[in-house]
Order: sequence, then structure tokens, then C-alpha cells
Amino acid sequence: MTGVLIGLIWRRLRLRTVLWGLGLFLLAFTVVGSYEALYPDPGVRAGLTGTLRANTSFRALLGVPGDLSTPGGFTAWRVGVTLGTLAALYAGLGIVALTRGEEETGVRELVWSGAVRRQASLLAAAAGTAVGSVVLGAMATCALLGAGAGGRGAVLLGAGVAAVGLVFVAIGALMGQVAGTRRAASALTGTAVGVAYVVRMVADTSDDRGWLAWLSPLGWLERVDAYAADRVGPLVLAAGSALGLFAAAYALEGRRDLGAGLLRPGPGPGHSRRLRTPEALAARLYASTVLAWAAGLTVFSAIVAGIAADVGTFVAQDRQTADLFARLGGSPDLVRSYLGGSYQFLGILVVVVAVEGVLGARREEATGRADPVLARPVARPRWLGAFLGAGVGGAVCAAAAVGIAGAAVSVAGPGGDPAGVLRAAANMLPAAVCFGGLACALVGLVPRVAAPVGLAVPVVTFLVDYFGRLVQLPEAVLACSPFHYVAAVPARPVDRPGAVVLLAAGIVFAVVGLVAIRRRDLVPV
Amino acid sequence: MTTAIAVDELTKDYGRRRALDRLTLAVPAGEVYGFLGPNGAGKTTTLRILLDLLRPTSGRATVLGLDVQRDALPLHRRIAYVPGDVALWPQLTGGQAIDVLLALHGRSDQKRREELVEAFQLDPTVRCRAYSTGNRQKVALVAAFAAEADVLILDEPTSGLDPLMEAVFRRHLVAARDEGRTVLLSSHILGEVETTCDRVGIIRAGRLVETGTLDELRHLSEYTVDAEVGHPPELGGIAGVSDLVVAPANGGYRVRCRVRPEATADLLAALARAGVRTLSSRPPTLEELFLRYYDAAETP
Ligand SMILES: Nc1ncnc2c1ncn2[C@@H]1O[C@H](COP(=O)(O)OP(=O)(O)O)[C@@H](O)[C@H]1O
Ligand SMILES: [Mg+2]
Repeated sequence: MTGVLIGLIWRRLRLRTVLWGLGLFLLAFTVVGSYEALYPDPGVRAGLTGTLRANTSFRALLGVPGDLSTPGGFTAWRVGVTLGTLAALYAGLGIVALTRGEEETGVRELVWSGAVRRQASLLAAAAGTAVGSVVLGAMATCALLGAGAGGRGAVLLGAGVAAVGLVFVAIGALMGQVAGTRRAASALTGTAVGVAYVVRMVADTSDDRGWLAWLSPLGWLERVDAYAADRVGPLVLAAGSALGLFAAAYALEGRRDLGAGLLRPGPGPGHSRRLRTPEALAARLYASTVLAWAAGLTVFSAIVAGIAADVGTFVAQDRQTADLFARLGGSPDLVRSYLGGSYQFLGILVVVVAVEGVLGARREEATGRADPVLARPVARPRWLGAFLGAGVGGAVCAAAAVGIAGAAVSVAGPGGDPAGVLRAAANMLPAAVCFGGLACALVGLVPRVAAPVGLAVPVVTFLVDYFGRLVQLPEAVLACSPFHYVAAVPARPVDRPGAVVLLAAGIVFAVVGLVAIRRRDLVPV
Repeated sequence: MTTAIAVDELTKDYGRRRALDRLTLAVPAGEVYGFLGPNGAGKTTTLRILLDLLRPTSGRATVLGLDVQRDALPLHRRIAYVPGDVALWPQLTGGQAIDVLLALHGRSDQKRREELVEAFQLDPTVRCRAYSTGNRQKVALVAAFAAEADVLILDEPTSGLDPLMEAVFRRHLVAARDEGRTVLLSSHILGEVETTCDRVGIIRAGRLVETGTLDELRHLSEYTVDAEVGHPPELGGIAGVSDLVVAPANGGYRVRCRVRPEATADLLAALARAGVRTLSSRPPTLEELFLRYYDAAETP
């Protein structure tokens, strides 16, 4: 029976695992590859560690450099924390979806009433996500080995990434015991990842609080110090903590009621006077998600803007890095190039906010919650339009958070460009409208695949554009991505014709979706 | 008698699977119409087509004279619907969900809303994610009964309710009928059908196999006859007599059989020839009636 459960879990996990693994692989692979191009000069390589270690902003963002004189060491520093954070999100949110999510859909009730131990579901989900974490770590190792940065360091970095994943498997499992709903458990787990990130950031930027890093799973990954000190101790610590935390979750799972968590929600309002229209309902359903995104983007944008000046000074010392930045940003002004490249990255997240909001309509349909709404005098286009509005409105809020946070920090710090940051934030919206519209068309035309396709298209075309420019793909390939027409503001001026085309495409897509939704059946999963 | 709901030659295919096969049915205005049939017969499909949630492959349907597809919006102002599988927004409370549904409907009666919440003993401050199936159904029922609608379309609305709540439901259903509303009620609960429905229609494999008042259906069906006779009766040759059991008893014979209405005269004559002493007959119970119609689904 437990074997059957693991089989089921793995069926749900495998595609997700492959995609995340591929993402990690590409990230590590491109960085290793770029090292040779960036720093061909052995003299520069030797001095790199010292220079970068002195730069507080880089330490905050990426950690304390170990040994940057080799491609592997450089990669371990450049993407190590990022890989760890991604593994943490994959593992933590993954196990919450498999445990709490399953409990909410009622599948768990069948399992618990079957002839298996109560914790069998939890064990199966943990086993699945643990294997997935190891796969992610192995992909990082493969990327390093494949790019020629071999040795013990590659294995240790991969093991470190996997270990962070394992710890967050346990944390996710524990949060699933604390919270009574999937949403709340996901939020707690996401917060735990954020806390781990911030704790290591504080540790890495101060000289006397370095010990704090030992409190964060991401800090443990850093303390492995792959390609430099090559420590195994932190891995043991991580594995031990994962086991301990998981044991706690395991014990709680055996004691609690089905559907219950340690936190119990209180009663809510018995009436509602505000939710009177489909638009108000769609906005209410999406509001908390938008709030979470906006909070995350605020922090992100503040960090990006906050370290801008430091990045400029550092990069100016080094022609190759300056070239790289210029390629990404497309401007000889390094600070602006850096800001342009970074805000493009935040832009894809704003696009995801728009798309997710529109896809809310599909979730309503698949769960049957759309039935009682559409059985009332609510026209289908209006109903879908409400979710389109929620998505685009959410994207506007997210972009506003990015702009305001970044501009505020820019005003406070030296050499900031608040107006440029605000323009960069506004520049994210045409793409958000374009892909929000595309999601709307997909919901109208091909509901069953709307969710995966609606998310995959913007993410993949973004990656093609962003990394395509780094590795200098041919122009003909780059031109296929809609993001090719989103300028790296503030490094360059807003691409007005491009923005108009994206907006127009978004509107056309949206109209197609609103017309198509009239013509079809409501379909479940 | 005007027709409130008219379904005409409705066919619905899900891919290659045919769920409705030229279904035709008529619900008279002001009546409660019980829509019955085994699982998978096509009841939910029919009701969802009436609400324009599904589009028929061919055929058409009208409610209150309005086309269910073309005039969907004006029609929905006059229909209240309870889906078979009530799904609600997990983060809203039951009270909020009711108010959302009533606001989207347009016209509603606040006083009646409060009375219904009370009558169904629903705690409106609980989040929908914590509601049981029955409580979710109560939310949908309150939103349907408190809306000002001329037609109620209810898809197995009491499958999760306890007997007490089921009684509350029946009271409100009868009250709605008395106010002149038309009700189309899909149900498996025979007591509910017997006490509330003026007329029933039985659907099987996407076709309407029988329709009429319960009395009419009974009269079309076999009665059970018990008799005591002096010597063995000769019943074998009578068409329309089935399930015959003859056993010696009290110095004579006890006879039990089923008889179709048109064979009753022949049966009585044969029993009289056998020296009948006692005789009783009873109409089929509702259960027997439905089992007969449902069962035939296996052997069409
Ligand atoms: N979305 C769907 N896709 C494919 N087949 C369906 C779908 N919905 C219902 N069916 C099939 O159509 C038939 C009628 O189903 P339904 O109307 O739900 O029956 P009932 O409500 O009478 O139990 C069943 O055979 C069912 O399996
Ligand atoms: Mg049904």
C-alpha cells in the first residue's frame, strides 16, 4: 500500500521535478560557461576573491565568496544560494501541496481509512520530495561536471543543494501540521524560506555576526564552501536537522484529527455587503495572493535598488563584467545596465501575477465553483473578464510595489535613479497584459491545458530572451520572444512600439478568450 | 396547463459517449416534477444544459418560454439552481457565500434569508472549507429559496442532509410550490419524491422511459395479489401473471403472484374456479416501482 502511495506521489511530482531540475541545470551551466569568457586573465581571477569579498552588496545578495579563481568556485558563489533557495521552494511547497493539498481534496480520507499506517501518506510525500531534492542537487552537480568544473566541489555543491531541499521537506511537513489549510501551510513554508534567506544575509554582511549563518539552512549550504574549504560537516548538520524536524511532523501526524492543524481558525463574518458583483468576488479571491507577491517583490526591489551603487563601482573595475552587464542591459552606464537587467527579471514575476489571476477562472471552473455563479444572471464573458481584471489589477499592484519600494530606496541611497526605477516598473505592464490576455484566450479555447501552457509560455520565452542574450543566441531566435520587445529600462528608453504591440496582442487575445468562453461547455479537470 | 420547462429531442455527447439521447420532457407550470433515474442516466447533464452550463449536441430546451441558450441571462434572473455537487469558496464564510450568490442573482428576500439560515440551523460564520457536504448543500439551498425565482432546479439537493433537515427542505419545497413556483427536482430519496412530487419522469441511459403522476405509474405497474384457495389454481396460461408461488396451507393452498392490470380479470376468474377463500391485493411500493424501471437499465 505504501508502495502504491509512493507511485501515486511520484506520478504527480515527476514533471515538476524534471522542469525544476532543468532550470537549476541551466542556471549553473550558463554561469560556469560564462566564467571563461568573463575572466580569461589569470591575474584578474586571482584578485577576484579579495575584491568581491570586500563588496557588501554582493555579500548580501550572493554570500561570502570562497575561492573565485576557478570556474567551479565562482559558480558555487554566484548561484549557490540561489540554487539552495530554489530547492527549498521546490521541496517545501511541494510537500505541502502533496500533504495538505491532498487532505483538502479528500483523497487523504480514503487513505487514512485504508489499511495503512496513518503516517503512510506523509512518508510517501516526504520520500517523493526528498528524491526530487536529490535530483535537483544532482542536476547542479551534472551542470558543473558537464561544463568542466569537476571534482569534489561539484559533488559537495550538489549535495548542499539537496540537503537544503531535505531540510525544507521536513519544514514543509511540519508547517502542514501547524496550519490547517494548504494556503496557510504554503505561506508559513514560504516565510520560512524567506527567513532562512534573510538570516544568512545578515550573517554574510556583518563581520561579528557571521555565526548567525549556522541558524539558516541556506547558511549551511554556504558553509560547505564548495571548491574552497569543501566541508562535509554542514551537510551532516542539515541531514540531522531534517530528520529531527521530520520526526516532529511524523509524531504530530499520528495525533491530530483529519483536516485539523495546531492553529485553529476563528469564526468569520456571517454577512457580506461588499461582494456584490463578479468583479468584487474575483478580486476578493485573488487579493491575498497578490498581497503575498507584492510583499516579496517589495523586498526584492528594495535589495536590487539598494545595492545598485555598489555594483556600479565594482563592475567598473573590470572590463569583462562590464561587457556582460552591457549585453544584458544594453547601456554603457553600468548602474543603469544592472538595474535594467534586474528589473527585467522582476518583470517576469509581475507577468506571472497577471497570468495566475486570469487562471483563477479556470480553477473556479474545474472545482465546480463557477457553476452556481454562471447559473445566475452573470454572462460568461463578464465572469471571465472579472478574473482578467483581477490578474491585470494584481499585476498593476505588484508593479507598483516594485516601483515604490525601488524608488524609495533609490531616493535614500547615493547615486540612485528613482525615476528610472518607476519607469522600469511601469514597463513591466505591457507584457503582463499580453500574457494575461493569452491566458484568457487559453481558458476560453483550451481549458484543460490552459493552466500549464498559460504559465509555461511566458516563463520559457523569458528565459530564451534573458539567457539568450547572455550566450548571444542569433537575433532571429531572440526576436521570437515577446520579451525581446521589452526594453531593459532604465538602461534603455521604453520600447514604445514594442509596448504598443504587446498591449494590442494582449487585447486581441483577451477578446478571443471572452468570445470563446461563450461557445463551450464548462469542463471539470 | 402551461408548460414551464420543455425539453425537445435533446442529445448530448461527451466525446464518443452519449449521455442524452433525444430526450424529450415537459414540466407543467406550478408543479413539482421529480426527475429520477439510476446513476449516470443523464439527470445532471440535463439540468446543466437547462442552466446553459453545458451546450447540447442537438435539440433545444426552453424554460418559461425562453431559450436556455439564447435567452440565458434574462432566464437566469428567474431560475434558482442547486448544483448536485456544491463547491464553495474555501476562504469565504457560509454567510458570505450566501450573500454573494444572492447579490449575483439580483432579486432576493433578506428576511427570508435569515429565516432559512435559522431553519436549516446553519452557522454562517464558519469558513466554507470547514463545511461538510450537507452544510454546503444548505448554503446552496438558502441561496436558492431566498432568491425570487419562478423556477427552482435542484440536483439531488438533500443527499447530504439529515432527516430533520430533509423535513425542513420538504416544507420549503411545498411552500415554494404553493406560491406558484415550478420545481424540477432530481432525487433518489423515495420518501421525498412521494411526499413532494406531483409528477415524476424516469430517465434511463439518456432517454425518458416513463412519465406521469405517481398514481398513473402505479396503475401501469403490477399489483401483488395474495389469496387462499381450496385446490391448486390453473394460472400458468395467463399472460400478465408473474412470480407465482403456490404452497399448501391450512388444508388448502396459499397463492402469491404479481399481475398486470389488464390480466386482473383473468386472474380473478381463475382464482374463483379454484375456490378462493381470502383475497388481498396491494399496489407496488414506490421502491418496487423504481427498482423495476432502474433494473431494466441492466437489460435493455
Ligand atoms: N464531463 C463529462 N465527461 C464525460 N462524460 C461525462 C461527463 N459528465 C457526465 N458524463 C457521463 O454522462 C453520463 C450521464 O451523467 P450524469 O448526467 O452526471 O448522470 P446522473 O446525474 O443521472 O447520475 C454518465 O455516463 C457520465 O459518466
Ligand atoms: Mg447527477
